Amino acid sequence: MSAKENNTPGPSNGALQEGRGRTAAASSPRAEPATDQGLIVGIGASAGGLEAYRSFLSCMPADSGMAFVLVQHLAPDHKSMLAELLGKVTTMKVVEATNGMAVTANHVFVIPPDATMTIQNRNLKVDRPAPPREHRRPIDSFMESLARDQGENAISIILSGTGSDGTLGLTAIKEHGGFTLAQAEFDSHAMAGMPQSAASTGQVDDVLAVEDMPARLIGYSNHLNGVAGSKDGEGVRHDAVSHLTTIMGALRARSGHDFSQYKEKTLVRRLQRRMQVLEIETPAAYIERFRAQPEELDLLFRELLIGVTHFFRDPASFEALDELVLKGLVADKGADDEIRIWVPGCATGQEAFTIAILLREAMDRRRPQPKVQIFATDIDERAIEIARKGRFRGPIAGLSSDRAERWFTKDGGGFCVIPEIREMCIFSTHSVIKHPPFSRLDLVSCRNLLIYLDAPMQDRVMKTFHYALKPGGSLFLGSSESVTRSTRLFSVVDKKHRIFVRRATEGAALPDFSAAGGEVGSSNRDTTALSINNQIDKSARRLMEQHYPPHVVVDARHQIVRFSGGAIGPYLEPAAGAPSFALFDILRRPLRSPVRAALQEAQSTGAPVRHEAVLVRLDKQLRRVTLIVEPMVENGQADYFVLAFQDAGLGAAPASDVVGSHSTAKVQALEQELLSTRTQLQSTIDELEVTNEEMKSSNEEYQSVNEEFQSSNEELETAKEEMQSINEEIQTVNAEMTSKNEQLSLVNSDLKNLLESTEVATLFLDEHLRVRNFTRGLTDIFHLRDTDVGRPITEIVSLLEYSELKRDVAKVLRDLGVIERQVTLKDAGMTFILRLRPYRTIDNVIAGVVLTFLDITMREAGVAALRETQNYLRLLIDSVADAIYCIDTEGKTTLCNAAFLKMIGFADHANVVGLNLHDTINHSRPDGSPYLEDDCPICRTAKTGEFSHRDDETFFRVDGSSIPVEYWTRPIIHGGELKGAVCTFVDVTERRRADDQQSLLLKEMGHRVNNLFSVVNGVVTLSAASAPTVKDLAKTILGRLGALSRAHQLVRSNDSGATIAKQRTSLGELIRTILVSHVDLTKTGADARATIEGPEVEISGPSIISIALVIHELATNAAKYGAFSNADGCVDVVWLVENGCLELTWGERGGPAIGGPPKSEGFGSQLARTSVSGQLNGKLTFDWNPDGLIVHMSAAMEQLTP
Amino acid sequence: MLDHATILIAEDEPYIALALQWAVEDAGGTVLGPAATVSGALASLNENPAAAAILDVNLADGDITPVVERLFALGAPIVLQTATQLPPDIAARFPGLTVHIKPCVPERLVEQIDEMLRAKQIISAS
Repeated sequence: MSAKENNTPGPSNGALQEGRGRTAAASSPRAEPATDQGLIVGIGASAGGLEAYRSFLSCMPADSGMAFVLVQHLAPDHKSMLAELLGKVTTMKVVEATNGMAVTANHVFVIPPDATMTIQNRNLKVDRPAPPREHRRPIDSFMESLARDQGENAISIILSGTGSDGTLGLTAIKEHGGFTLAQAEFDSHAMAGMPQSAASTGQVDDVLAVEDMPARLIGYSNHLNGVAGSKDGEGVRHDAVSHLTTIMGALRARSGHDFSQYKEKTLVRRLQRRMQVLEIETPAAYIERFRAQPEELDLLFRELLIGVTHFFRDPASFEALDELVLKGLVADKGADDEIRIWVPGCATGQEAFTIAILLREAMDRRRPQPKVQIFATDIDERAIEIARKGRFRGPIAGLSSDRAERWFTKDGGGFCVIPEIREMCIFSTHSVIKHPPFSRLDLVSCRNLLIYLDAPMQDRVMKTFHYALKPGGSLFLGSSESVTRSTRLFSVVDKKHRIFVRRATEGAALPDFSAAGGEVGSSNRDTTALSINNQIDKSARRLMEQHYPPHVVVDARHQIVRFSGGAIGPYLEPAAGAPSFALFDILRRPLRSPVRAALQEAQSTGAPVRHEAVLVRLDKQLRRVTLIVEPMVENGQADYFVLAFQDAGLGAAPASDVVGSHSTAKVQALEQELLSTRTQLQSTIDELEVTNEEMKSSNEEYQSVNEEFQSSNEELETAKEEMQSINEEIQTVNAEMTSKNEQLSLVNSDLKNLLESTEVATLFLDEHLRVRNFTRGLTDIFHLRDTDVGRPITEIVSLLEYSELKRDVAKVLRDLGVIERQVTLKDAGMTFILRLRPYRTIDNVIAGVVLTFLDITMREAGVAALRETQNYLRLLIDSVADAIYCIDTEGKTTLCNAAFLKMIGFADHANVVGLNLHDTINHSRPDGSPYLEDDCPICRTAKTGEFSHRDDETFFRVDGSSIPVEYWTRPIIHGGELKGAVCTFVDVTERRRADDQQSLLLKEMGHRVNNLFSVVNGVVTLSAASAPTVKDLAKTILGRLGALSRAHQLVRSNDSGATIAKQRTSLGELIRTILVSHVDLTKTGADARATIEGPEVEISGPSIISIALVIHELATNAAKYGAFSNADGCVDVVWLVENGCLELTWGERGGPAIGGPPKSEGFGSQLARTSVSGQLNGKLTFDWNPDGLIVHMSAAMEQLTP
Repeated sequence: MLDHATILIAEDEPYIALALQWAVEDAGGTVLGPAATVSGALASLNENPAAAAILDVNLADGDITPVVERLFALGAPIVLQTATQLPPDIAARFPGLTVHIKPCVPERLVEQIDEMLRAKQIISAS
């Protein structure tokens, strides 16, 4: 029975006991039984529990009659969608809880965010805001209130989640008789933390997949309804009581522990709960069940051991304990002393650790420190195993954060007691009732165990404690326990906090453990059953007393257990010293010997003994006393003896009346001898008794030594187990070390290969410049051999041009910085980057310097080549006639060439590079409007990567002037990323001008050609009118066209690029050109056919044609009728300029004589006149002189060059 | 055909001018001009009013616009001929002008002038 321990029930205090939930429900305003209102199922899950909730609700019928309260870890600042989401999977109404909401069946209630929810009288209570995260345990809070409010009407389900929230709440539900489920680990919806934590307490009735839970709940609910009728007003099943003895007997046989002295109600309640969980309706069926499945008894056993304990339970009491007991203990002990404490019923060890912590805190304040041993025992092996691990899931209830930090180490989600505390405690399986106690203890802390025991067993345990404590030792009990029945053994130190001190009472012997439990238990049952009979017996005994002989009842060890009262006085005499019930201490001395003999005889034979009329001297009288010893035989063994004295009157020599006086002397001599023999015998007996006493005390000593050995043995066993577990740990650590070692070797070889394969020469020096290690590559720089390790590097020959080595190393060691230098190798033409870094060991200790030489010879060559290429490119760019201009994505100029500077008018690159030139080199659209930067095609290319091409825009130069340009933009892309844009452009001023000219020319050509055809048209029309024959017509037309052609040719050959208006020639040249087709102009002097004389007169434009026509017509006329018609004729063409007028005379001579003007004016002269008057606005006159025609033409000079 | 109507001819190409002159005269018209310049044409108009005109668009001293304006004011029908095309501003200012692209047959121009004159007479007569 141990049990205390383990049974500590509810959070309030041990008193609790049974049935509190039910009592509370019954006393609530609702009078009807709680079960009629249906079960309330509290379901806890952490934030990720949605899936589990859905599975659960989708499998739960809507008319189960149960109410569901869902408590989830929610983010405090987010609205919860839980109710909406769950409303889709069940037809039950799902609502978010509000304060005061009544919990009704077939509804689902969901905790709101940032709130703590509890339940009272079936009404939800919502407190906001929730406590800070580290203290938030909403599932525990709700379930604990549910347990108190609903008792066995409560059901707790822990679904998936991380952490340990819900574990305490679930335990409370079970404690109050409710039903508990946890989600199975293999369940696909589970996150293992919370269900695992809950299951690890052993308080979960069933571990199931979420989908299987609804069916289990309905079965449970049906069962409860079925058995409701067989319970009494306190919810205790009356039909179970009668089977209790049977069940407890079976339990004792199975577990070796006897619970028969538990309070009956406690037992029935626990039993009832098991039956509910199993859905078994009658106690008889339950008995069947465990007969078929003996393991059920183990579960019942565990059920009886349910215990809740935590650190610093009842903090004020522990404070008192610390002040009144522990501090004194520590103060009184020296370094060689030992503090021994026993915590029976320690459950999972929190109480023992609490005391250990208090002691350690007390000891920390002083020296020397005594050794501390706290024996913590319980009958529950599982609880002891948990206690031995010393690992508790956090956060730990009852523990201040200071203490948690100081005495625990965090280990994942749990807290481990630090070894210093753990080593103070020794845990072992032990029953305070069945097993002998520990001894020489300074303190026994036994809280909330006694309350489960009935009175006789309490007395017995108190005696045990009394025995176990050393004089002055303290006893610390639970808040509802006391020593009122044992005030002889303990005195009160602090009544409120239940601290007592052992009285130095003697005679409080160690109870007999051999037959413990069962026998006492059965006598208890007998007593109860026979109480009425006892009353009759008592009365009868009182009446019979006067007729009894005086007697005493003694046990096998001769301790008096009953006095008969009355006439016993004469036979007994109190001994000096401490009161004693030892028969032979208080029996009158003369009686001792005969009584001893009679008792021994009765003890050895087991049969009644009657010694008639023994002569003894009492009160100086010789009396006859008949001694009667009757063994009280029970179970075939005599444990008690009744010793009765019958007074047979005054003693006299029986023979004195019949023997003669002659024998009187002989008789006297014999009597004398007898007396002396008696005296001798008496002294021998006395000696024997003294020896006996000594033996007895030795025996007791041995017994207690034996107990100690037993304790030590248990300690050793505990230690052995610990050693075993340490051994396993060491093996584990060893395996880990081996695998780490392997990893290390691997890393080492990786490192070696890395150093070998890297071309980077590396040198490790210690702080005295001695070589510590180096890589192959370094031998190119220093002539190092493996044997040089340990030599100062300064002794090693090197081709390195680097004299500052020593100074740099010192600097690195001093500043712990990195130094980088570029060094070259003499002769080899190699260049290195040398980096010096401090060498740090893994412990971050500076133990030298690492030098790395990075060969950058190639890089240097590359850099030089690159520089050359850059220069070359620069030259190319600057030589290009097109302007080149680059910008980055911000619009800032990154590059430009010489052509750009020239075209835009900048003096130098420095005026350009790095600046945003958009506003400087403003440019305009074809219509003249300026570009904003966002629209500018160049900027757009830099931002979007589009190509663009424009040939119709204008750039503005620095001085404000503008140039027409054509430009192309392309994005600059490096590594797939847009870096900017390049713009190349050309000045198109010249091209534009050439284009204009060309289009003008084309237009002119069209004009001229059309004109020409019109002229030809005119020539043909006019010539046709006057030509007598086709041949003449052809000749006339050809002549005229020829003249026109020549005139045009002349104009063209002089000035190819000019327009008609600008064509010019000289008058003489024109006349010569026309005439040359009519006569030979090479002849000079007397043979000359034509003379052409006059000042240089320039003519241009249409007047050229007019004059050419006039000359041609005159020459044609001369060829037909005048000076050119024979071989000798000559024409003199002379002109002069007078008063701004050209006066030209055509004079013929040497031709045939002329008979006067023609009858009608010919076509030629008419045409000539039309030309002169129309085109030149001049005059043409004909003088038909018989010697030759003389023609006079005058025209204003400005008409010739319009 | 032209019934002695006075026809102004403005043309700076002598052969064409003469061919037009003959065509007008052959058709019974009286020629005013031919003028080779705009100023010459305007001067001729100052001396004698013309009933109609055959004009080259581009003359040596500029385009024919002032002459067209004058003739429009007089209500005289006009036939234009040009080697290229009518300058856009003239076309815009005087929509409906009769334009011939050179080369063209002088008689055809004269016939058109005659038709225009007759049409004008019919309109005024009615």
